Amino acid sequence: MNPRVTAAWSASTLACVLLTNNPVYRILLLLAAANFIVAAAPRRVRALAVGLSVTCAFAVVLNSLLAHVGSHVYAALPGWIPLLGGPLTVESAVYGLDIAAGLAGALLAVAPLSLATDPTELVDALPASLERTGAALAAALSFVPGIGRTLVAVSDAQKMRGWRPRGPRSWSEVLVPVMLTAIEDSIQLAEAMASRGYGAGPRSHYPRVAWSGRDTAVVVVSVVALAGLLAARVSGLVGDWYPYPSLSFPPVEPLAVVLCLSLALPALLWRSRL
Amino acid sequence: MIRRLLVAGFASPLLFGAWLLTPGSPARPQCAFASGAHHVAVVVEHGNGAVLTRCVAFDSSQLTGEQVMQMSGIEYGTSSYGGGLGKAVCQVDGEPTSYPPNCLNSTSPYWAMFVSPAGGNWSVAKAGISSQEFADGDALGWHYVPQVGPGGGPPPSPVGVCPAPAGASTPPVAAPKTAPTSGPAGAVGPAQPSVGAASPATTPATGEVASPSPDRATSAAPAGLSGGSSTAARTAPASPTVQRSLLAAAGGVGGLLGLLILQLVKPRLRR
Repeated sequence: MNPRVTAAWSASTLACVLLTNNPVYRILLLLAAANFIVAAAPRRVRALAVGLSVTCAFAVVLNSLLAHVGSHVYAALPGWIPLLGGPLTVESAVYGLDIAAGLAGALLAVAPLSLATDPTELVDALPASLERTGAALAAALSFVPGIGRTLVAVSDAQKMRGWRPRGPRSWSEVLVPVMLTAIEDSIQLAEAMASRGYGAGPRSHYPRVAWSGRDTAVVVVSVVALAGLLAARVSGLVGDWYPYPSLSFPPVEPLAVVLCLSLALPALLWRSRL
Repeated sequence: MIRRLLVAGFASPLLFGAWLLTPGSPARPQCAFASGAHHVAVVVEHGNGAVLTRCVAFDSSQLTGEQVMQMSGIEYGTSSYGGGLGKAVCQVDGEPTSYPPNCLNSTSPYWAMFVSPAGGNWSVAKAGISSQEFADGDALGWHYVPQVGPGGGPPPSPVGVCPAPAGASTPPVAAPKTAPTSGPAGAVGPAQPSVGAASPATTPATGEVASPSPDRATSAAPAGLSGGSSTAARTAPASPTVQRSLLAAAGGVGGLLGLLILQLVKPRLRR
């Protein structure tokens, strides 16, 4: 799949998730994004699912403990507990689930950019005016895990020489070598990039990913879905939903449902290809 | 003779008033500002269950919630939250008698605002009273509800509060109970609140006031998981549009969930 298409779909889905807090639309977008992730990167789903589950559970518990509003009380915490004390209601738990659906939807919307797209493809996909900036940014970001590895290696080496952490000043014995190593690595990278002609002229590319009719279809659907939901939001057809004071089913517009469903198109088109 | 004349003199206005307030009286006025072609129903349910209804008639295409309340003659007080949040309603028909500048404290009940678009079920309003817009056939509902605990459902159905639009069939549901009694919904509004209060000098004598009715005993009970529309659902069936929407949403969620499960299970089955 063309990385530009992935980026367009991700941006559209993320904007749609953030447009409304109606749980029906959020769940539809969440499932559409989950289908795409499973189709595009089936082997990397497990870690993502665990992370999302923890995040969602945290959101539900936090909202239940902090929002003591609602008609249906199922338990109560002693009032002397600061912030947490008070009745626990079904409404606050449901709103916590709504927040969790929003969080999960937003994370799944941007996940294909890291799970299903190679970083070099993303840099290639940038417009010509941003290519050099993107390459420099990607090179800088690629240093972060390298610095982490260097930190562990230097700490281990210092410990073997009798070093023990004793307050902030003792850390200079680790941080200074780490900093020097990072500078040395960055100079090496700059020399390597210069020797490959970085900045000398127009950038050469590996063969670009071909643009197919499927790519066009996904981009069109992403744009239409975002524009449609935006118009529905502005016109008041799609609005926010709150379960307070008493739980009620969120209002649903068939048009908005169709627009949300259309964002599952990449999962259907690329299910067999990716 | 003089005594009989005095009795007749006192009794005739009372009888006339009772006749005016009797449901079905031909001369009984239906609406505040009855000259308009469009109508918006206003239903107010107090914390003690007393229900006050008004029908506001107007000629323009739309009214804001604030205009509806002003035209209804029901006393109300607001507090502005500024920016896009608009105004919150802190007091309706004299309840509560006073309130803090920011409307409510951490435990006090509050006025929950409900909207019934074109005769549909009650739903919680999406905007504040100054931003929420109403068109012909809509209804504005208020219910004084506690922050915690039962009683948070919508007010009684607005069906019957306003006359049915010309050409429309009469709903098969009777109008809310009416009785010429007083209660918190008195004919004259109480003292004005300090923040943004707006109330007409006089209250139209066209409203319908009901004391706590047996019907409300069930309505005020804790609503179920679909409590937001439970009261209205008893009196008016869900519109086909709502059902189609729910079906579309359920179908969409089911389809995507099925596809997801299929994608997760299929590789394992192949092995």
